[in-house]
Amino acid sequence: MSEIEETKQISRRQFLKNAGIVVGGTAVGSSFILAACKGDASEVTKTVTVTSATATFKCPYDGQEFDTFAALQAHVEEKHQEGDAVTITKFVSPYDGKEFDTLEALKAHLDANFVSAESAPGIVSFVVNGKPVTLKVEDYWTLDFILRDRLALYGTKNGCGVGQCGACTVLIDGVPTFSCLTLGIECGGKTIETIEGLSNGTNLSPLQQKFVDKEAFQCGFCTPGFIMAAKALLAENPNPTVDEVREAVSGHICTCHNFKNTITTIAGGV
Amino acid sequence: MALVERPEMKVIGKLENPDKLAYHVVTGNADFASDRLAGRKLYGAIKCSTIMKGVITKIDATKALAEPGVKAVVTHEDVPSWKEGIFFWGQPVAGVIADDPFIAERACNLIEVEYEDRPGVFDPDEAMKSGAPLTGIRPDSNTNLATNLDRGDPDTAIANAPVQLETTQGYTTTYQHATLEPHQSVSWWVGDNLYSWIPSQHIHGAKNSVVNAFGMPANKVHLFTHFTGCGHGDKTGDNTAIESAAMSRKVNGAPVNLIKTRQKSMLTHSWMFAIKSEIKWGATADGEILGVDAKFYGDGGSNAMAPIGNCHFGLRTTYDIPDARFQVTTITTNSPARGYWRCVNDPPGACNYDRALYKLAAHLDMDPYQLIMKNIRENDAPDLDAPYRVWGGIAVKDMFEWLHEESGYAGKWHKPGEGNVMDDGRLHGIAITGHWDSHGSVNGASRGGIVTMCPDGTALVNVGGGRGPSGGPITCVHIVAETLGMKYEDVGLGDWGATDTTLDAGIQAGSGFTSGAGTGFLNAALDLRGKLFSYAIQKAGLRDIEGITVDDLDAENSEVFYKKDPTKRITYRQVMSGTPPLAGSGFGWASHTKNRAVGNVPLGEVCNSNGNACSAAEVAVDPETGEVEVLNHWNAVDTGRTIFKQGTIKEMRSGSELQIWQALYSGSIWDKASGACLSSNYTEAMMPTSMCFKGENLHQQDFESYDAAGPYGAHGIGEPCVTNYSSIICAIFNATGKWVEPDKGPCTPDKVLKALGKA
Repeated sequence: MSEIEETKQISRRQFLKNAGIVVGGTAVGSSFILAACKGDASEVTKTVTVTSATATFKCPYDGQEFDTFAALQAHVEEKHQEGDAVTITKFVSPYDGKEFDTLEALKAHLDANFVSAESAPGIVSFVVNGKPVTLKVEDYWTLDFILRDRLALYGTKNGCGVGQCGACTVLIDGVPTFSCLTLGIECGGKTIETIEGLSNGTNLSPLQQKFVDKEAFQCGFCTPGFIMAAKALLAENPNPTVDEVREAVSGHICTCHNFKNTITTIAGGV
Repeated sequence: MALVERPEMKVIGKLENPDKLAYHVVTGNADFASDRLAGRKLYGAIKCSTIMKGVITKIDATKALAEPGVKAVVTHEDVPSWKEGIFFWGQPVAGVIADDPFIAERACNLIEVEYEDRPGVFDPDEAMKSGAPLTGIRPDSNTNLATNLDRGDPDTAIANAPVQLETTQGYTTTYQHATLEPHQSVSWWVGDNLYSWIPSQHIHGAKNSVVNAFGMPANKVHLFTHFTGCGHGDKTGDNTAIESAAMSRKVNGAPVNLIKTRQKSMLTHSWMFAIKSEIKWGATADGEILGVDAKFYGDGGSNAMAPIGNCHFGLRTTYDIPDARFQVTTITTNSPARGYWRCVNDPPGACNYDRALYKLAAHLDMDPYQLIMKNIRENDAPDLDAPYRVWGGIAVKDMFEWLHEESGYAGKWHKPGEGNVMDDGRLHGIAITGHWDSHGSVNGASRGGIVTMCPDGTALVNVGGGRGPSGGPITCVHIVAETLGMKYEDVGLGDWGATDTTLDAGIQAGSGFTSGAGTGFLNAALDLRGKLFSYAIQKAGLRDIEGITVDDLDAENSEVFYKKDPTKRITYRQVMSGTPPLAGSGFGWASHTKNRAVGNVPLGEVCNSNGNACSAAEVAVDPETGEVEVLNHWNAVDTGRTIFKQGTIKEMRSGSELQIWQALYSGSIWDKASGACLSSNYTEAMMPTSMCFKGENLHQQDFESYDAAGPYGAHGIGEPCVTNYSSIICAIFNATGKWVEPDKGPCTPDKVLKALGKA
């Protein structure tokens, strides 16, 4: 299964074999070329497959099931004789169904052919608008860039790139956050909500509907950021006063100067 | 408030009509220029000069090109809109195309540029001095007398007047548009065809700029725009289309998304010009102005054609002064170009002559409102300096009277600095200002529109323009629905913002879109209406009416009916059943009287279609801290006729906020020695946030003067609603009895304290 390709040069190549974006369930099973260094500093590349964060590892001795290899290994070492061969059932790789007589053999197979999304360099997994996403990212890519350029979620805008305008606001684990100041690689395991996630297909959320009803926008560039900040505010304070809204959105700029309309729309909740 | 009788509308002006693009905005589906080609484009970044004036002598991009991910570098040799000569700190000198914007920006820093530094001049007063270094922006001078107009004999009138006063007003604020959407575009080539998505207030104008820059046939340049982030006049040009197109050409036509960072966006695009003035008055003791000699000086930065020349306009046209002189000198300096901002000349111009007017009133020991009303011209009066020009609809006098009443001015006004202490120790002040505006129909440029009819009897409006803050295309939808007699919900936006498939709807600036594009779509709808009626009389339900002609028909609620017996009617769906595809096209100039004769201008002849506005401000000034709070702000704007009611209310409200911003917050910080801008970001440019606006004290009123030249009497309000920030400056004077000079910046607390002698 594995393909070991030795390369002579020191290379900073990092590319995905099946290119670019993996979204949702298709993340698992996508293979990519993982760069690694051998001891002599030359580079080795191999084709590996990204694994899901959850899988079922079954102990062949007693049939107990575990979510990770590490948990299975700990169980075997505690409860059974490690290295004992199994005769009735085998150690089975949950990713490809291959069977092995020993735990060591299973581990070697997993190491050679699979890498968890959480542990692979440059790989990050998070949930965006309810959908799991696993991506290969550069460590300097900001979250807003990833959302826009890798996931085509254009609703999040970049107005300043330095956290002064609020246009890039998304919710990370429910907290309004400037995505232009957030590195994507640091978002592993997070739950991210963008403006696109608020409506249910054709049905607007009550907050979005209120913005429509009150015409609380002009050019619309700042609007997604305001709405996301408002969503977070209303989750904690469903009936905010005008002053509470003003403070909650004080990190947002509207150069069309539609502040009054936006603030009074958010005030009082939905 | 109606000033002229006009027929009732079914669609136009209705508050319940929503913005057709609201859903797009609130769901994140409003597509701005860069919102496309995810993962399938390269990115561009620019490098800016670090000298104020000189010439590029060498560009070494070796290190930049060696960076992984860098595809190419461009210089002025590749980009037609860039120059080898440097005229301001921050001028673009090179660019990088790379895999992502981060690599592109980092690689820009690796480009080594050598300059031959030459003496320049940053300060406008220094630039005007004899012997000052030439900025190089004009060939032989740093100044240009853009306006020089004499009416009668002002020198004699002033000299003989019982009261004479010379006033000087310091420079108004220099600020940058700082539109929230930074300047950016996406361009790619397919063979010798160029495709570009840009933010734009005039997409057809941008196309012309690109065509000329590259010397290409127009049918090979395809420009597109949809949503434009703010604008305010700063997105009327090519908006980086030339730059991104050049970058794309450098990488064999691959798509390139040039995104200027906030800093570089502010440096390389236009700023508002600062204007100062010297105004001499001659008047009677009871306030009749007999003569005025007004000289204005405006800093145009590195823009030789900076549009400052009309900054006197409101003074010239609003008041009945028999003898007058108006001069406007534009100054070039080695600083970023000054250009269009909302209403161009009028905000800083008004801030000059309104301060001068209030000084005259104080000198005469007179209420400024009384001084204004004693000298204001009547509505519809002809232009004193060009009698063939009349304004199709002007409501300035009426708006002043309304503001006076609505604000409770009579009970609140006091002499400057007297009897005005509030319970909390702050100083109360109030002021009213207003004027004819120099903007309106954009000099009547011809604009066009196309309307298509769908087989089910619904219609589509195809607008050659994008959508900025005011929702211009939605205005066209209103006009078409009204003209066709259709329900608002039965008319939608079709193709918009694409130069290939639309007619030039004009510039979304100068309040010209409503009057210009509006006239174009009015005529397009009339064209289509004629075609529809010619088919209607052939349809069951109408064809059996003996002798029926198209002139016997009218339409309402998406139904065509026989005027003599309205029960005989069919739907537009029935009209379109079996009818071939129909479209209407039209164009029109917004500078001919259509609706009524005005003054000495008969129907069908040339007249102007300008906006006008008035504002009142009530402030509280803290004499200990210098902080100014705007307690109330009233914004009255003459729309001619309000078309898109929701959009109009938003514009007027934002106009009040923008006036507060101009007076108290907008500004810039410079190193005058090097010409470097130190405030090219939102924090240091003092962009306001929600904490700066109380919100609940803004009041708006649209006046409908029924402009004789405008479509359905409309002449647009996009700009006049921001022009009267002088109301706040003058209110501070009323509160304190002291003038707080903007000094090229906002009226910050330290300036207030300085004026009060406390700093």
